[in-house]
Amino acid sequence: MLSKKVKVNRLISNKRGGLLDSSLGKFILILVGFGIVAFALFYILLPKLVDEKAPESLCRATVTARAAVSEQLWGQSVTPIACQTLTHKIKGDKEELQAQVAQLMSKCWWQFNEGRQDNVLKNNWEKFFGWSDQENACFVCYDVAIAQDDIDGGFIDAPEMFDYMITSEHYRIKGLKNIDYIQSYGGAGKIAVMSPIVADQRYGIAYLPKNAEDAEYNTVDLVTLLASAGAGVCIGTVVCGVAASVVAGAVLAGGIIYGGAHTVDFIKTKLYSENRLTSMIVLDDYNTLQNAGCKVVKVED
Amino acid sequence: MNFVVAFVLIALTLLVLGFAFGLGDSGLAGKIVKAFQGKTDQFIKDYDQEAYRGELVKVPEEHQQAILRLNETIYQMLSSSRKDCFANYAPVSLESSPYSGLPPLLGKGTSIVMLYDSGEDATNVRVYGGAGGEQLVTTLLFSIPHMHPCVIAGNAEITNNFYTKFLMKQPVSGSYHAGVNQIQLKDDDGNALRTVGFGEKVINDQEGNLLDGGWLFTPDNRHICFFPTSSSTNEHGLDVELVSSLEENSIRLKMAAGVAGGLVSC
Repeated sequence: MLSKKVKVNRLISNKRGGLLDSSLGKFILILVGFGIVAFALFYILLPKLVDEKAPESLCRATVTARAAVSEQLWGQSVTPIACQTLTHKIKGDKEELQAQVAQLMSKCWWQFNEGRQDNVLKNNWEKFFGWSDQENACFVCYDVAIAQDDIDGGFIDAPEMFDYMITSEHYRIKGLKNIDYIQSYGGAGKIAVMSPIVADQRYGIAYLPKNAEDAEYNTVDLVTLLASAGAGVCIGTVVCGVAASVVAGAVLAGGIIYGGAHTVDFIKTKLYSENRLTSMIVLDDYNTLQNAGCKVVKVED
Repeated sequence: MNFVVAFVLIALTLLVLGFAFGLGDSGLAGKIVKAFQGKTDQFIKDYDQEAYRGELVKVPEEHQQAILRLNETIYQMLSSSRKDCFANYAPVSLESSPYSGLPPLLGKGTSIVMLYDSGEDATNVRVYGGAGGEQLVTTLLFSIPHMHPCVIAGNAEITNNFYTKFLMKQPVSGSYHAGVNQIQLKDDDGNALRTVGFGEKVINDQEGNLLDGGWLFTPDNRHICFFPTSSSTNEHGLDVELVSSLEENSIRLKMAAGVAGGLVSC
C-alpha cells in the first residue's frame, strides 16, 4: 500500500502521466505564471508609479484599462484602479480661486474617463456575489485647501461657484463650458456644489460614479440554495451516512446563514440606497465627504 | 517538477527586472505605462467613438418651444402698460376639460425652475432634462430682469379675493396674489407647480396641480403670477374649473369673450 506522501507526489509529478506532465497541468502552470507576472505589473509596479509625475494620467489609464479588460471578462473588474487623492493648496482672489477649483473639478472628471463607464469603482467580489457595493460610492480626487486668511472679493457662495461652472470655459478645450464638459463630454454627468468656499478651509472634489447596479440575487444564490436543498434532502432521508450527514449539516447551516445575510443586505439596499442616474462631480467640505464614506487614497500619508 | 521551478524563476526574474529598471520615466515600467496609455487612448477612440464628444443636454423640441413661448409671454406682460392683466403662454387648445399650458413634462423628463435673485432684481430660469432629468440644459438658460414670480395661492384669503375681484367683479380689500422666490414646474402625476414659502402641505402636496391652461396674471407688470389649481378654491389655488375649463366664470371663457368678459389682456 502506497503512503499518502507518495500518492501526492505521483499526482504532481509522475513519469507515467502525473498532473504536471499533462497538457492540462502545463496549461494551469502557464496560467499561474502569467498570473504572477500580471499581479506584479498591476498590483506592485503600477501603484508604485503613482508617486511619479503624472498620477492623474495613471489614474485615467487604469480606469480606462479596467473598462477595457472588464469588457472582455463579462463585466468583471480584475485590474486595479491606481487613483490617489492629491493635495492642492490654492491661493488667489475670488476669480482666481473659482478658476482653480473649476479646473480641478474638470480634471477629476477627466481622470475617471469622463464618466463613460458605469460602476467604475465597483468591488468585483461584491458584484460577483450580488452584494451591495460601498466601494462604488465615491472617490475623492482632490483635497483642496484655501491657503489664505481671507479672499479678496469675498467668499464664494455655492450657487456662485455653480454659476461659474456654467459661464466659464474648460481650461483646455476652447469653446466648451465647464458644465457642458462634465454633463455631456463622454458619459452623462452632473455637478453638485454643496458648500460655500471660504478662506482657510479644506474642501474635497469627489467623483461619484453612476450607480446602476445594486444588490441582487444571482447564480451564487441559486447554487447556495440548491446545495442547501441537497444537504437538507441528504439529512432528511436515509441516503446519507453519518459522516456525510455532518458535512451536509454544515452546508445547510452555511447556506442558511449566507442566504439570510444576503437577504438582509438586499433589503437594506432596497430601503436605503438610491441609484444615481448620472455620474457626479461634487465639491464639498473635505470632512463631510470623508464622513459620507468617500474613498480617500493618499500616498504621502 | 523542473518545469515549475523554471517557471517560478522566470516570474521572479521578471519581478526583479521590473523593480530594478521599472521606476522612472525611461524605465521599463515607464515604457509599460506609456504603452498602456497609448492602448487606453486607442481604446477610448475605438470603443466609444460616437460618444467621444457627446451632444449637449437637450429637452424634447415640444418642451423647448413651450419654454420659449413662456419666456416671450412673460416679457410681453412685463412691458405691457396695463395693470391687473392676463396673458396666455399655451397654443390655442380645443380641450374642453381643464388642461395644462405646458406639454406633459413626463416623469423624470423636463423640469423648469424659476429663482428670484433679489440682489439683481431678476428671475433666473433654469431648465433641467437629459439623463434622469437631472442635467442642466445650458442652451436654455435665461434671466428675466425686473420679474418677481408669484402665485394665486398660498392661503384661502388670496384665492377668494382673486375670485371675487376678477371673476365676480366685486371690490375686495386685501391681497390677491403672493410673491414667491422660487417656482418649479415639473411632473408629479401630471404637470405640477411647486414653490417655497408656504410649507410642504400647501400647494406642494397637490399632484398634477398645473391645469392652468397657460394663463398668467400680473398685477403690476413686475410680479408674474402662475395659477396652481385645486379641486375647490382654497389655499392650494383656484378651483380648476375657474381657470382652464369652459365653465361660465372661468378665466378661459371670460378672456375668450374679450371686452365683454371683463378681464384685461396684457
